[in-house]
Amino acid sequence: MSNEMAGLTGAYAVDALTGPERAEFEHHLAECGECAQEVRELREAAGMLGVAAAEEPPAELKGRVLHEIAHTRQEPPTAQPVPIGTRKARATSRLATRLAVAASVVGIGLAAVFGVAAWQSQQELDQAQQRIEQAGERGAEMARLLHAPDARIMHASEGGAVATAIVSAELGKVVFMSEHMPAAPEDKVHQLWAINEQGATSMGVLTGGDVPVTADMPGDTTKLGVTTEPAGGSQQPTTDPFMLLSLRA
Amino acid sequence: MDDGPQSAEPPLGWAGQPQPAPDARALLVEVAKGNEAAFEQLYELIVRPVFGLVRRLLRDAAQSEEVTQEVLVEVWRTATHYRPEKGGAMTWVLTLAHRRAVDRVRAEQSAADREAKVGSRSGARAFDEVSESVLGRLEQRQVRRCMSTLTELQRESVLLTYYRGYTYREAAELVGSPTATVKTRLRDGLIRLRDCLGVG
Repeated sequence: MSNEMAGLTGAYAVDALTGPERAEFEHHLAECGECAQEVRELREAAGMLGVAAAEEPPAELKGRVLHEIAHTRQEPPTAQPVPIGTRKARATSRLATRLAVAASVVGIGLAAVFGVAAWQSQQELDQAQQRIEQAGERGAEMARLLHAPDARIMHASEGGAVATAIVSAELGKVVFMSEHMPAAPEDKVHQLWAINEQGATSMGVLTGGDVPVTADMPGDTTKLGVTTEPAGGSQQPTTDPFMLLSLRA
Repeated sequence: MDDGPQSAEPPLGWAGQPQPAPDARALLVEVAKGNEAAFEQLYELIVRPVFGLVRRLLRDAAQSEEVTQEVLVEVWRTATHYRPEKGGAMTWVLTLAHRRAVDRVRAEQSAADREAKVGSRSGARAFDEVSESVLGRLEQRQVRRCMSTLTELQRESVLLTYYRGYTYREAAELVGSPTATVKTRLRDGLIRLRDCLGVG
């Protein structure tokens, strides 16, 4: 088993594993320092093939890139990037893999709840799995959502606050997580809305403290929005959203 | 930006030096601090390899440009995660570019689609194309020399996965060998390439 895994370093280094295999191997990498070192070396070698393929891009590309980065916020160094390639892992993959993948994504939300960063080492992974179990229903729901074939991850930021949503139209569910969301003024709450052309549907009041929320989502939702509402929440939004997450790719 | 007569030569010489861009690492570390001027310098070092690699994988010119832009912006956005002690900046950038281009290729082809294609003649043709045009265009003498030290099956496995974005299972279909064999040859081939290039 571990030999079989160790033999996958080459295929992993050149992205030649299928989604579930990739997720499983990344799980293995976290506990195999030797494999991680070999992957680094083989990527260095493969990178030479990339350099050898160098080609002159269109001249106007530079202006577009520089313009875009001038308007793009950099990720904080502590946050682990979401392993995009693993998010479509199928239900057929091993339980451990599914937990690992779920942990890495749920980690974003759990980091907010438990004040820890997403896992990196095997020890942290174990801790993350424990935290998912502790999170009970919500953790299970997040994991389920994450493994929906059409699961997508969306980000938005406003001021210092960052919002992340994991969305599956197929399941009609969303997990909404925030970081550094300012507390609502006294007698007010933040409320999450599913927005479509007809208007807004409440997805619930955010309890504060950046606690992740799982909610049902109407199928024709195009945006998620957060507004400030009187305590207890409103039937319909009474203020403009201060944060908007577009669900269109 | 005007490089004079169009040249297929990559801008980075690497004769005798294992790391083609000695200061890319320092630049990327600067970029992580939000330094846009450093990003502009880094751009010049990485854009040709990124574009060339993405184009080789995606083929379509407009799409390649779009993905190249996405990759470069991602370099800016996630430079904060780069760990210089864990490898070179060019490798980090090209790993990101390769992953993203491959994900794009796979997202656009349904599994059924791909399987049908792998089993068909167009798959076999795709390989001929790789071995002739891609290898023929590997102008870096060192890479070419090192690739020539690989066995045929090692070379095929490396080229089909790295430049064409096939999984090792698909590559196995194409070359008509068992998947376990291709998996092993792929790793052996990359190890041989690593040792020959003196990287890692």
